[in-house]
Amino acid sequence: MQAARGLRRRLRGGTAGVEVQHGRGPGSQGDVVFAGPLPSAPTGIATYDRAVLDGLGRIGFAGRMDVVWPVRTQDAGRFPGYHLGVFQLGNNVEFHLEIYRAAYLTSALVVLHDLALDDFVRGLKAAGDPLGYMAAREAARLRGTIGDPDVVRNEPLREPWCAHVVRRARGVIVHSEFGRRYLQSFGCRTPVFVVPHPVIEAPEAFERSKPRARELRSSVGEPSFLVVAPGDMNEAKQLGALVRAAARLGDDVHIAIVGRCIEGYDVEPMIEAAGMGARITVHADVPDADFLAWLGAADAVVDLRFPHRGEVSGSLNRAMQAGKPSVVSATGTYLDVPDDAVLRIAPGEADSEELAHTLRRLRDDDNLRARVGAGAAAHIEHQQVSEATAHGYERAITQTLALVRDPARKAMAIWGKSLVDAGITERMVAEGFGMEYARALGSFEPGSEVAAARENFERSS
Amino acid sequence: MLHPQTAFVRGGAETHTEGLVRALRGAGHEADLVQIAGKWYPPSQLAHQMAVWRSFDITESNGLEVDAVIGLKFPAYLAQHERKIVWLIHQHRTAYELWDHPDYADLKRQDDGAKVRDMVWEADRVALGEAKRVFTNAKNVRDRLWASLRIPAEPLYHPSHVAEELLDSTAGPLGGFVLFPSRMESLKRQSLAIDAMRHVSTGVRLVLVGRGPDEPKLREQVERLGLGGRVSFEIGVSDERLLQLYREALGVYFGPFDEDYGYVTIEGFAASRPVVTLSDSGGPLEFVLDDETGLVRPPQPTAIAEAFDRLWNDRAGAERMGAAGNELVRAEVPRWPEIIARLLD
Repeated sequence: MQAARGLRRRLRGGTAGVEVQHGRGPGSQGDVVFAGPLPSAPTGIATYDRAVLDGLGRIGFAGRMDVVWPVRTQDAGRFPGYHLGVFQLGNNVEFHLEIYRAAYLTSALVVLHDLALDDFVRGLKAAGDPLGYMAAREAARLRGTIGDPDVVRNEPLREPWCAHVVRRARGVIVHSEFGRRYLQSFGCRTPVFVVPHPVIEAPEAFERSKPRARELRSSVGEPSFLVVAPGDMNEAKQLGALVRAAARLGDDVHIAIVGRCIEGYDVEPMIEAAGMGARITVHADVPDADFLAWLGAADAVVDLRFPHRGEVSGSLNRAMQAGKPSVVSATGTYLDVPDDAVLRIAPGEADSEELAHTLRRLRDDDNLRARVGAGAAAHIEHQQVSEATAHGYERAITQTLALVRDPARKAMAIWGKSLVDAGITERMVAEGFGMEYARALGSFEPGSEVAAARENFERSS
Repeated sequence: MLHPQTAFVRGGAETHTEGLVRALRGAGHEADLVQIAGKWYPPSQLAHQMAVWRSFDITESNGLEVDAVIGLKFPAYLAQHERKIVWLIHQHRTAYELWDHPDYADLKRQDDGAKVRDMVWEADRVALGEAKRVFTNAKNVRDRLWASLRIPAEPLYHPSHVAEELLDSTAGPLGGFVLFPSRMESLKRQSLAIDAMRHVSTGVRLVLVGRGPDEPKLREQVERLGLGGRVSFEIGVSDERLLQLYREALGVYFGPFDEDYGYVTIEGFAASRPVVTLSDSGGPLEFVLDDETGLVRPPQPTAIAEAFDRLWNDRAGAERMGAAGNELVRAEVPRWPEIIARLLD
């Protein structure tokens, strides 16, 4: 019982409206289970999940949903009892291994935080998990099927590491139209829902952080132009290009690199080698309040990606919410941000001259800065006010649940599995094998005559 | 003949199907029974059965063209054939008139029940609509079909082989028990008849014949009410034993809820026994005319008990009603040669 109690946490209205019962036995559980990191897990997905659940609570999501975190090996037996699982999948084995396994046991609506699950799948293989080999095999089989130059440019996306889990799922949530195009480019037939990344911060959060923002700005010498590069510090952020760009900008420009240190990557030597120690500072693993304050203190934000893994940047969303003009790479999910809300530089390896030129424009043009910042804030505010994420989740859950419960699809699944067991290949299906059955099922889809007849029947009886 | 066979279930549908195949062969036709194992739950399984029957190719078999197919029961009649004849014994009732019933609804209680109901309606609309002829086994079934899908049909009664044997033999004297042969399940309401036995004031006994999922519950009810000396069970009897029971009964009771047709009524009358039925029993009411061929009572234990006592106390009246019922069956229920001619006309 203690274990069952530990399995679920209660998320209350206000901070979260989705109410989760403690220790309910089998049979009394909700229809849907939500499995993903929650605060205080040290991953951006934890704050994301909290924001999603809060949003569902605010819009009065009517489904009975249990939230499970952490997900442990011994919890596996509980998942198949749910009609549907919402599984948050990222590229980190530490946080997502058991979630990934659970997604195989349950009718799953998977949420892809990274389109490239390369590190994750390698981690699965390293752990000797058969699912890792299955995912790798499927990815290898599909290698070369994607022709989109924006994908081909980004090595982690070339091999669709997510293909296996996506094919098994009953629905997929991605955060951008790029994500949908990517999945469809390698033949994904699972329904895809594009749901915008949630707005993490409350509208007043940046107002509250202003005093701290002033302190931080002062701590780096009150530069006339402060550029912040937020988020995980890794190769893909193109921080080297940013360091080189800084060298091309005047002494009045200060660069603050703020975020989580990622093992195996160190930006400090690059800064020292460029002799930029005074004008570029690194603020590693700062508290969340400081992270927010740095964004508030910034005059401009730089959030580049190469290679791109198809993720949507939570840091960029926060910067935009703060009304900061951001410079991003013209690639993947960044192309889905409205044109008036960011400035873009060419995709691929960032060109430090182009980046410096863009930052110079922002430094020198108050109107441009104000216009792009206002566009960014308006875009996020619209998402916040319209509860776009919560409604998107609600739609995805409701539609996938209907799909899972659809008796015709259940019957089709039995039939499809039987065909596979009998050795029928996709090519044979294309030639018509087993299609009579599918056509028969399709013919039972009720037309308007049935609705009218039933209404008449119910009235008369 | 197309038939969805639920394993370990035997009832009127099987009797009807086998009787028809026998009669077709007797009339010189090459007839065979094609069965596919069926199961009606969970609802997705029903959808699967529907698709199996609908996609099933019965236009020819082993190189021989099939001239006609006859389907009696859902979802067998969904099969497609140029000359499809439907002799409907009932629709999938929980998708229709039993959808909302407080006791007998089951589809409605399933998560995907509403979707399956829509599929059943659509499938019936198409499959019954495309049939060359649609007959029903009773007026009650015809009326339900018209009320729901607005598909016209022609009622066509038929005798069971037990009824035929009884019609071809002479009735014996009335005995001391009321016979209730039926599958033991909730729709047949054996429980109500047992309850009624608490209220009888004569020496009349009740004999329940059949088998089914309710048997243990019914036995427990008899035990609990202390009716062991008045109510007895005969499980899985042979045809010979059933014929003997009909011939030795005082009368026959048949009080199901909204029965489609009901062999028991016909068989009771074929044995020249009066039949007691209830005002909501459906098909039997097409034959049981109160105080003429039997007794019609409301579905209440005391009313049923009064009817049983009346048969016991008024044997002459019971004999008169039984004889009238026998005449009615002979007049209204055609024999198989005539049925075959009408079906294949």
